Amino acid sequence: MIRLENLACGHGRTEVLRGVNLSVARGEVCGLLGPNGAGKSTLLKTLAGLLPVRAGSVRIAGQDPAALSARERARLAASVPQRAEVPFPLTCLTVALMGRYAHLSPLGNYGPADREAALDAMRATGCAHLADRPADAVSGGELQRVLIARALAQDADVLLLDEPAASLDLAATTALFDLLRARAARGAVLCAVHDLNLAALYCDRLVFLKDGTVAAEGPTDAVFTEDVLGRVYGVPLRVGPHPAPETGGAPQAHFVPATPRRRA
Amino acid sequence: MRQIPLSGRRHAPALAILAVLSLGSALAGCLFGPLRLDPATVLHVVWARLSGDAADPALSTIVVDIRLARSCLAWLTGAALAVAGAVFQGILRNPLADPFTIGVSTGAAFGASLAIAAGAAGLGGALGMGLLPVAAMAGALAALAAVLLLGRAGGRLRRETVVLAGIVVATFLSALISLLKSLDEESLSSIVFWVMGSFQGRTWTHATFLLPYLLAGLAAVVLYSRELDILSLGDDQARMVGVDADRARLVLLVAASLITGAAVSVAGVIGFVGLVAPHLVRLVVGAEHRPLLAYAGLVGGAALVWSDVLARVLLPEGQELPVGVITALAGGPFFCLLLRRKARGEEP
Repeated sequence: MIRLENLACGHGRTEVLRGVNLSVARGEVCGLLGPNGAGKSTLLKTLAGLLPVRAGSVRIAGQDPAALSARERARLAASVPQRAEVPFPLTCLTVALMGRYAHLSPLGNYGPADREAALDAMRATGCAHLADRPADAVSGGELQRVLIARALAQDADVLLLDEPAASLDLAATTALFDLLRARAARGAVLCAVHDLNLAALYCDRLVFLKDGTVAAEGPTDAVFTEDVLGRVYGVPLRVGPHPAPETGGAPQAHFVPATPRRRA
Repeated sequence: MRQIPLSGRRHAPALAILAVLSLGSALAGCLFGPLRLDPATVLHVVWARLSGDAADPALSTIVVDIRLARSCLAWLTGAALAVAGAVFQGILRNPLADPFTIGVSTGAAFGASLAIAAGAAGLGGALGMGLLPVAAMAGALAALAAVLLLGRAGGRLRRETVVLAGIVVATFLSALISLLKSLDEESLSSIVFWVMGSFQGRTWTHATFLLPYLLAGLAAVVLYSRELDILSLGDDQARMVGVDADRARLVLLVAASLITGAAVSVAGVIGFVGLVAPHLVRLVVGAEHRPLLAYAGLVGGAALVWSDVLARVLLPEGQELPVGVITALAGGPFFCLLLRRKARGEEP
């Protein structure tokens, strides 16, 4: 679904990433991990067509996003930004409806079917009750759910998310990742994740970015190791199986503090 | 939780009531002036002119050709400035943006001052109004181009840089206007009067000059009102949902600048209508631009009609104030109130 070959990208005059090779198959949820400033957001923005490709190639469902119009690109891949600033009192429903823009005819307006699709997406992310609220006055987590609903309403096969759980509570986070797993069945999901253990529980495949390139990449069980994690994050980590049997003993990381508190 | 009273509701009834009140204001504006008239007379004279009946020709001239023309022009100008202000605010994502902040009004004023100083204002031109409007429109578009070029200096167009560029361009052009004033004492009064904004002596010619630009600009803005909603979240968001952000913004900016240039060229520089009307309306109906533009236009039109009435009745013995003075005197404190209210609303 997503294939990057020797990709180099960045913004302005600075090159942030180079030599990125990556492929995400249909049906997969791929986690994008790495320390702060590793280039996770840059990679997602490049895939979304917001930043130029400096070298190499990008293919989403076999197509080059740079060769498509903004509208076609939005029908191919939907993005959830890390954060958004709403400077005016647009309602949350209006913001979610924006996901339907790429499906409108050039002079058409949002119809009842679009409203229904937007409301369905809002119900799926648990924010339908906010429909008439001004989006500049809801909490960060609530706005995040509206933005995820917007991306779902966009009805694209590929979802690109930039730390979507950053301002969500625990219940909303697990609900979101359950939703992403269900969505991956019709395409692919590439998601920057801050929380290592969350990524290990939900992602089929992981990509670790560090120092402007891919430090490790592969199926979760193969790359989620003490060696790789220690190398990428530069702190000592221990990896062990998840205690709940329904996870199939998914690997979970525990970091080892240099100065642990004393225990009786 | 803050609520927006009319947000997300059906707007037709409220808009219809507001349209009647707003257009009624234009008619009511005919009541005021050196000659006191009662509403029945005004209605009778206007009706007589419309139906082609013979009426008192002197009265008919006063009511229809002087007062109604002026009132309608004030309404059109107010609506134009409010719509342009709403567009600039939406695109620049800044509730303090308006035709001034982005330097477009000052550009139009500079174009017109240049024409006056060069003595070209009287030359034949569009619709027998001389070159003044043409120069003003050219000035508005040139100022917009300069602002966009400056704002783009760092690569991509960003909202902070556009507002800064607008202030830079406006300040520079204001200085040039002052320079023109001091170089050419003869045209001083003409430039000053024009820079302050006024409807004195304006006729149907001016209204018919403004109307096509207003309608064309309005059509473009309404067609792109969905894109305007999306652009108000920023360029990246707009591209994510499939908007060709550069093109949509260019269409909207040019349309709003044409509307502004046409308004400035018939009425001079009138401040605060473009700032306050959209701002006030947004508090009541929310920020969805399709209803917002309609409400703002109606409110802006009525606001400028009544400002013009004040401008011509406040001073004794038929003297007139520039209407820009009234809008600034009323708009400034009003805007302070809005800002305070907003500041309070955002505190938990």
